[in-house]
Amino acid sequence: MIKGILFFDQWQDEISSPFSSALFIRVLNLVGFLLILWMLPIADQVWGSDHFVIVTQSFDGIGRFAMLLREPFFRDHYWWFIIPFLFTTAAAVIGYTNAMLRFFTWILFVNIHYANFEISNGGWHLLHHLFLLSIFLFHVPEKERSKSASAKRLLHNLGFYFIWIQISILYLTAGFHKLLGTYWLNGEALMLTLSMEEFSLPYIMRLAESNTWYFQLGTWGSLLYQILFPFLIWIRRLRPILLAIGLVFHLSVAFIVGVTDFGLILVGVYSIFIPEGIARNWLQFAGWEFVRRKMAGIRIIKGTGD
Amino acid sequence: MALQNHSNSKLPRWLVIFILTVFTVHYSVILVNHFSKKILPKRLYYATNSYLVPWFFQNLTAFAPDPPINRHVFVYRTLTNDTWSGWKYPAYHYLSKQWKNRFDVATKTHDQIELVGDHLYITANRYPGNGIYKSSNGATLPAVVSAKKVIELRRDDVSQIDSFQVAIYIQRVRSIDGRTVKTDSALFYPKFGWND
Repeated sequence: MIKGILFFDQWQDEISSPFSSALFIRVLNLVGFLLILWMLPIADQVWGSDHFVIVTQSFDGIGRFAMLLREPFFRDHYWWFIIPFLFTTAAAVIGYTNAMLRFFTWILFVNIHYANFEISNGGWHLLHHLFLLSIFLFHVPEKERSKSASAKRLLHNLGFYFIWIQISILYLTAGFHKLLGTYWLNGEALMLTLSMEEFSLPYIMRLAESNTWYFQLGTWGSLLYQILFPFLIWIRRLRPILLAIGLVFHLSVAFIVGVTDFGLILVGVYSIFIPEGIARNWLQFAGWEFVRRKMAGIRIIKGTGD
Repeated sequence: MALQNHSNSKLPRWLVIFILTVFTVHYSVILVNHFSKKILPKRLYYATNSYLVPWFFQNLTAFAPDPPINRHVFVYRTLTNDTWSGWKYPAYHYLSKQWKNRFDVATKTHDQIELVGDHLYITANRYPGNGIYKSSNGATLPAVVSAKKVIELRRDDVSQIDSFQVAIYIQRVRSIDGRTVKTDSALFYPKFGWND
């Protein structure tokens, strides 16, 4: 108990993994930016008045502000949401962000997400919550000593590890619920999925007429991955192997199953697991030195400072 | 040591515990919500929903407990100058684009049209028997209005259309002795006047 409290005391003194969280903020916002940019050609149909899906709004009070784009007036002015979102995410990618802007980005994304449930998937839900948790990724100079700085460090570290927990919950929920079905356990889920034309490709549909060993391996492998991920991700030595398997899994979801945005969102959010040293090198490699500033003996990326 | 040197900049213990509690309770509610859909008592699902929906809601159970093995494909035909067109499968145009290029945003139009099929199926099943044929407000049902908008999306000129009929082509995939078997059926809506 005492040890636990001392641990959280220490979290008020230092930010753990500042480069990893700085890189994550950039990648998360890059993913959000590219996702919405990708959908601009059909923006009128998805968020505007050219929609053909059923759009209803039954929320009032504070809940209404999450659903504004389900109201005709705001649908007619959906650019009020899209353009600021593109600006705030683009700014975060190049390092100009703070907690207020990240909060604003989250509100915008929630509205953009709920505007059209039909384009949503687990990736969108995950982004929704990672934008929320990213609000807490404050960066404070190491030498700054005040109650406010301590609070920001504590919140950063909680936000950082709750992002890990959120991603683990995604896998735990998806994996565990698959155990309640029939086809994941008997090894036929992948064959059946890939025989549906909307989740396949023409030549793969022909392969999926019978359940070969590789479809069974894929079914059980992906089930095992989802169930074990929430436990194994905390073991440092296993992490690179786990993430490498995850990359193959999610790229397959993107390019074979065809749920492209989901697969690529998950690849993007894996950036939270990139170790400090590598995150630091990547940030330097990406050419952000010109916006860096020296702080307390370590170099922190400008723009994530709050 | 850092812990001793900066003791007056530390947060009061009660505040640390409060912050930890907020994070922990929030995520505990999320976990209970996820697992009360199928395992924990259902009343917990509704209770947690009242806190989580809409701001903190998340749905993470795609392809679970089983992958989708039933498809409800929206198809339609139009009547122009007393001549019925053939049955059209509007989502196919977008699906074939998606097959050629996984980065084609047509995939999102395709997904929305697939959902129109699901809504038509669900709506039709709310009317037992041939009830949908007896309904006086069929043309104004939200699912039918959605379907009509898809027809407008796919047709350059709708001014010549007198009537239209929508249907759902139902495809079921099953496995028998390790091989996929596809069966199909259809569910027809009545004919509606284009200007009804």
